[in-house]
Order: sequence, then C-alpha cells, then structure tokens
Amino acid sequence: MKKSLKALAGSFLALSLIVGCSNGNNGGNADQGKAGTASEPAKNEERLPITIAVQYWSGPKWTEDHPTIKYLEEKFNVDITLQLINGSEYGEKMKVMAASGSLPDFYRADSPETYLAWQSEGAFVELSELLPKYPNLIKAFPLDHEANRLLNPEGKIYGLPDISWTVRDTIQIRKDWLDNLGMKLPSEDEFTVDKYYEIAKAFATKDPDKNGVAGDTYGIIGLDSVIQNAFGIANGWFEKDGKLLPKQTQVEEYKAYLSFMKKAYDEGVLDRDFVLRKSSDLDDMKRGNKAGIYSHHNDLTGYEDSVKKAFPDTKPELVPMAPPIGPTGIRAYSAYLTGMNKQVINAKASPEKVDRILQILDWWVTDEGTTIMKSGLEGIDYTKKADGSYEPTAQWETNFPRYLNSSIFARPGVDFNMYLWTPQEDKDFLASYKALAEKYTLKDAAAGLTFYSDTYKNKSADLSKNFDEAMSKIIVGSEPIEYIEQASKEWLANGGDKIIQEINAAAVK
Amino acid sequence: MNAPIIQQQSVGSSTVPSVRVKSQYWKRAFPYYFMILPGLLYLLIFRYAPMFGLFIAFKKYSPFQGVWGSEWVGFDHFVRLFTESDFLLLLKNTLILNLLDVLVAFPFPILIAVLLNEVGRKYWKNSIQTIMYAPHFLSWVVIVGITMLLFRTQDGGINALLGSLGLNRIELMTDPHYFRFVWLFHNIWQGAGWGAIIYLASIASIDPALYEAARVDGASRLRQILHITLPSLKTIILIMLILRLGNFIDVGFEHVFLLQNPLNLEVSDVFETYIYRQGLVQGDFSYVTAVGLFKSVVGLVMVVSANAIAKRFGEEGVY
Repeated sequence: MKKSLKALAGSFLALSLIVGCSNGNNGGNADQGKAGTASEPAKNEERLPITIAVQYWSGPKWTEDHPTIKYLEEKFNVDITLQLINGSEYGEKMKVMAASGSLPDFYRADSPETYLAWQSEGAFVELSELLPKYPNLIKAFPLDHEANRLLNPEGKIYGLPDISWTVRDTIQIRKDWLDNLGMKLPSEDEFTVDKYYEIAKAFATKDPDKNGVAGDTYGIIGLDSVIQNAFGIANGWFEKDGKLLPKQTQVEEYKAYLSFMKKAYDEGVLDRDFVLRKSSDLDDMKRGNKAGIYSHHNDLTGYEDSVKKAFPDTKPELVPMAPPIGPTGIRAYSAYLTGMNKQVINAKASPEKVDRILQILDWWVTDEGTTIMKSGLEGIDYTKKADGSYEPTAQWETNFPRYLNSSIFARPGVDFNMYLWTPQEDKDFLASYKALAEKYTLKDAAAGLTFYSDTYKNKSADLSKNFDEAMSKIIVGSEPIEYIEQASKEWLANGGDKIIQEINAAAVK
Repeated sequence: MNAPIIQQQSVGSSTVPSVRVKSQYWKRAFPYYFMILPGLLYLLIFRYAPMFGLFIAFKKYSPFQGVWGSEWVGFDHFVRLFTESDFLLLLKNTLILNLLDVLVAFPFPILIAVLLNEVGRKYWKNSIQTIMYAPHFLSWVVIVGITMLLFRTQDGGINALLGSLGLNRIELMTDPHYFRFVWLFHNIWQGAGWGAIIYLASIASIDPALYEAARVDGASRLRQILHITLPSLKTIILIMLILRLGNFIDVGFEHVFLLQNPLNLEVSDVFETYIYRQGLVQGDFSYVTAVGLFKSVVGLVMVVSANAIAKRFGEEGVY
C-alpha cells in the first residue's frame, strides 16, 4: 500500500511541478508581401484558402455556408474560413494565436500597442506599394490620409485603418421615464452635471418604470469618461506650457470629479456594484428596462425595441444628449483617434493570397460591394418590389449579413447600418446624431504618441490598474478624497515620470 | 486497486535473476506497463516537452522572430520581477492565501473522513459523502456567480433582503476584508468533500482487528480515533501535505480572477493574475515565463525541503 501510494504521489508531484509555455514557431517573413503582383484581377485560376478572424460581439454565429460568404467564395475563387472570436477575448486570443504561429491571413490588430509591436517584428504585409494597384481601395484609403499616417512609419502602411466615428457614444436618456416622473427633458444649455445628477437620482430612487416598486431601477451605471471630461479631466493627455502631461497629474480636477461620484455613491445614485459590472451586465440593464441614463452608441432604436419586446406596456424613447456641462463650463465627448484600429494581412500569406484579399477589399469599398456586404443578396436577404423599393426578407434577420460588414472590414464612413430599405428619416437621424456627438469633442493631445514609449508599453496596464483602484476606493469611501494625490504621486514615481519624458521626446520628433 | 499485485511482482523479480524468469516476468508485467503508457506519454508530451520552451524566460521573445530568432537578455526579466513595485504585495497575498488554505482548508477533508467513518449506517454515510463531494463538479464561474447573485451590494438576493429590512448590507464582494474569507470558504465548500475520498480509502484499509481489540479493551470512540484512525492516516496526511506545499506559491488563476475587482486588489492580486495581465493582456510572453519559472523553482524548493523534514522525523516522504 505504501509503495503504491509513493508511486501515486510521485506522479502527482511531477504533475504539480511543471510550468507550461508554448513554443512559437519560426517564421514571419516580412518581405514576402513585396513580391505581390496585381495581375489582371479577373483571372483567379487557383482556388485559395483564406482565413479571417472576426471579433464577434452579438448575433447568430455565421456558418461556412452563409450566402454572402458563398457569394464571395464564388466571385473570387477562394475558400473562406471565418474564425469567430468572442469580443471580449479577442486581444488574448490574438496573442495566443501569435505565440502558436497560427494567426489568420486577414485580421484586425487587437490594439494599437499590438499593431506597433508586431509591425516592427514584420508580422504584416506592407501595403504602400500594393495599394495603388487597386483603384477603389486607394481612393478609399489615400496614402497620405491622416488615418493612414497614424501608427505607421513614414512612407509605409502596414494595415488598413478603420475610418468611422470620431465620437460614437453619447449620453442617452429615456424620455418616457422622465415623462413618467413628470420631469422635463433638459435642453442642450440646461444639461449640466447637476441636472445629470438630478435625473439619475430620480431614476435610482423613484419609480420611473412604473412597476410599483421605487428604487429597483438604476441611476448612474459605471464610471463614464464624459463626466470626467466635464470636470476638466483630459482625454488621456493634455498640453500645458508646451509640454504634454497625462490626466493622472490633474489632481484638482480628479478631486472635483471624485467628490461628485462619491456623493452619487453615498446617496445611492451610482450603482453600488459598479466595480463588479461587466459590459454585458450594463447591456442587460439597458435592454432590461433597468437603467434610463447612460452612455451608448447610435443604435438607439435597437435598444428601444429590446425594451419594448421585454416590456410591451412601455413606450421606450431614447434621446441622445450633448455632453453635460461641468462646474467650470467645460463639456466634451472624448474623441477617438481615427486610424487606431487597423486591418492587417499576415506577412506569411503568399503573394497570390495577398492579391486575392486586396481584390476582395477593392470590391468591398465600391457601392456594389458595400451594398452586398451590408444588405445581403437580392432574392435571399431582400427583395425588390415593383415600385423600386426594397424589403428585407425574414432570412435577413437570421443571416446577419450586416455584421459581416463592420466586423470584418468596412469602407470609411458611419453609414454601416444604413441599408437599401432604410427610410430617409433614419438616415437624417444618423446625420443629426453625428452632428450632435461631434459638436463638443476633446482630443487626446498625445494622440498616437503613447505607443512610442517603451515604459508606457510595459507599465501602463499596471499603472492604470493602481490608479483606477484608488479612484474606486475613494468613491466607495474607504479612502479620503485626498488619497488621489498619493495615487497620482505613485503613478509618477512608478514609471509615469519616465512615460512623460519619453512621450515628450517622441513629440519633438 | 491493482497496486498490491505490482508489489508482489517486483519482489519476485528482484530475487531471481535468471533469464527465463525474467522473460516470464515481462510477460506477466507487460499489460501493466502498457496501462501506464498513456499517462507516461501525457507527462512527456504535455508536461516535459513544453519545458524546453522555458528558455524564452532568458530571451526577449517575439512570436514573429520565433523562439530561436529572439534576442538573449540573460536575467533581465528576473531582475525586473524582483524590482517590480508590486512584487512584495504579490508575494504577500500569495503566501497569506496559501497559508490560510493549508492551515484551515487542508485539515477539513481529514476531519470529514474521520467523522464519516464514525457514521454507522451505510446509507447515511454514502448519501452524506455524495452530497459533500458534489460541489467539486461545479466550476468556479458557477460558484462565484452564485455568490454574486446572493451578495451583490445593490441587487444581490441576500443584500436586497437585508436592505428592505432596514439592516446594513454586507459588502461581501467589494469590501477587501471579506475577500480572503470568501476565497477560503469557497475552497472548503468545493474541495473538502472530494479531498476526503483519499482519506476514506486509507481508513478502509485499516485492519478491523485493531478496532475490535480496542473495543474489547474498553476504548471509547474518541480514543479509537486518536489512537487508531489518525495514526494510520499519518503517512497519507504527510504525503498530501508535502504535495500541497509544492503548490504553496500557486493560488489558481480562475477563482481569484473571478473574485477580483478594483476594490479588493490589494488583497486579491496574486502571481497568477499578474501573469494574466502581463502575458495575455500586454503580450509580454518572456517576462511571464520568467515569473512562472520563478514560481516553479519556489514550488520545487518547498517540496524538497518538506520532504527532507518529513524524513528527518522518520516518515517516508514522497520520494
């Protein structure tokens, strides 16, 4: 008995001792793309397999026999394999794929950091010489476009930028909830952070959803950057006396903001579990008629429909708002940097494959291509009626061709959810929404520079984790407001000072 | 258990060295060696082979330049780890959690096994045992999810009830003081019943004559536990303890990660979550390999010293 136990124990021991790590394979040939020749695009004699990674957020999972995919396969004589990756796991998955040498042929770099790091290691096909051979593509993504210059070395292009919203998310309020409480929707000039607070407080403590229970709805859900902006906190970096400084140095602004949020927490206006909520939880609250004031993207009708479906008695009406005005009169939505997200082609792809992918994209950016990629195929996803108008079929809902468009690739613009049959009023709404969202914007003064700081690359995740930790602690009251001074000092001492130096050095260049 | 058979054979083969007997021995033993094969292959392929990759801990590994093409950096990653501002915090949290686990959670399965052994009716004993080890089959996601549903401050079931009764809410998930307790409680709830199985098996192999003799001598049940059951379990307890010590710097990623939030980071940040942030979020593979190697070395040292100490006290140890 004892001996056998020994044997048993020995194998347990061996099992428990070992650390695993995966072998990356050699390879990654940066120069292969150069050889790519765009011969006459019509002749695609050899059928090529192409793998595409798709960051996947919602909707049904596309199968291999999806009509639009089949259409692409026939048109370009390729075999497309879609690798669907769960949205929130995309970044991790990409790094694991890189380590195991199994990156797809065409994918989106998961972050600007990754894009820069992998670019310098020769992971992507360089496109500056190839693009001009594709007339539609070069028109959509001119070589000297601001988005094409961002994150690329001078004269080189390693990925196609995603050019769409500068500001996508706005604060949105359930007007029907306000009506239920007898409150008025504030006008643009009336919408201050105090008004925001007042509305959120009413939503959190009264009964805006008229279900007879007061206080089972939420006020402020999550910490929102637009509120920080109202208190003067920068969108990443700001310029002062010719020097670039990060928001973590804005101690006074943070104190004002944190006092505001702490009061919200103490009075039950801020969701008491805000640190525990994942984005999917927030989504459930919005769709589940539990929250009525929040930041959200332009698909207002989709969310109204969700609420309506679950609660047929409600008449949900979401109204997008201009950013709230802070105590010193500042108001702004943080602007995205156009060109931060890049679609890349794997440097390991053969020249023929690179050509085939670029052919597909060249077609994709045309009106014909985009229409098919968004609205689907005539006779399958929609029908043309006698009067020339279009109507989606029942299959359109289940095929979800529209998500293929923005998930894999999209031509520049914000009209990716405007279909053949979208009524004019919706198109007008999109235009007005865009105008509202982009009316007051705040740019990052160090736009794109942070990635040239090695310290930033190595330390930023840990540093911002500590800073966020301090913010959460102050809001829930386990540390006093002044604690932010200490957090700011620690941020600087543990690498922040070095980041500031490196970024200012990069800015001079 | 087929272990006693192997034992007999190994005794037989060592005494008679003649060729004929040897071949006979192989003929009889072959099936058993064959049965070991899958496990052995598993170990070689999934546990030993990846160890060759460890040398990227001394390189600046880039997936695109490959393992061989990457540049050597010597002990840079280790220097970085030891000078990291969070290093002591990580070490402290890891060690405290493990210490709590060894002191509080480790004895639970033994206690359960001994007590179950005293349950007279087989029916009762079996059903209790089944109920107790059932949680083992629940994943951490489920266990943490249930805890969240019950104890979220705003809308968790128990807290909502406390709130509606006008009582103070228990900030179980966000107050850092509760974190270690919750973690430990989960560990015991999930693991104790399952862990008891190996002790129950050992108890079953104790010679019943010992108990009979004790009863004849008028020993009470407590005496029997103290002087028969526990001494018989001594070896297996020690082996389990030594093996447990080998994991003394492991906390297990999933459980801690699921319980972690910005408010309890000061007590919940451990090496595993740090490796996750640096390795998978930031993609710094070489550095986290170095962290992993450091952990393994500590684990090895723990096992070797625990084993040496056990031997000094006249026990067998694990090797």
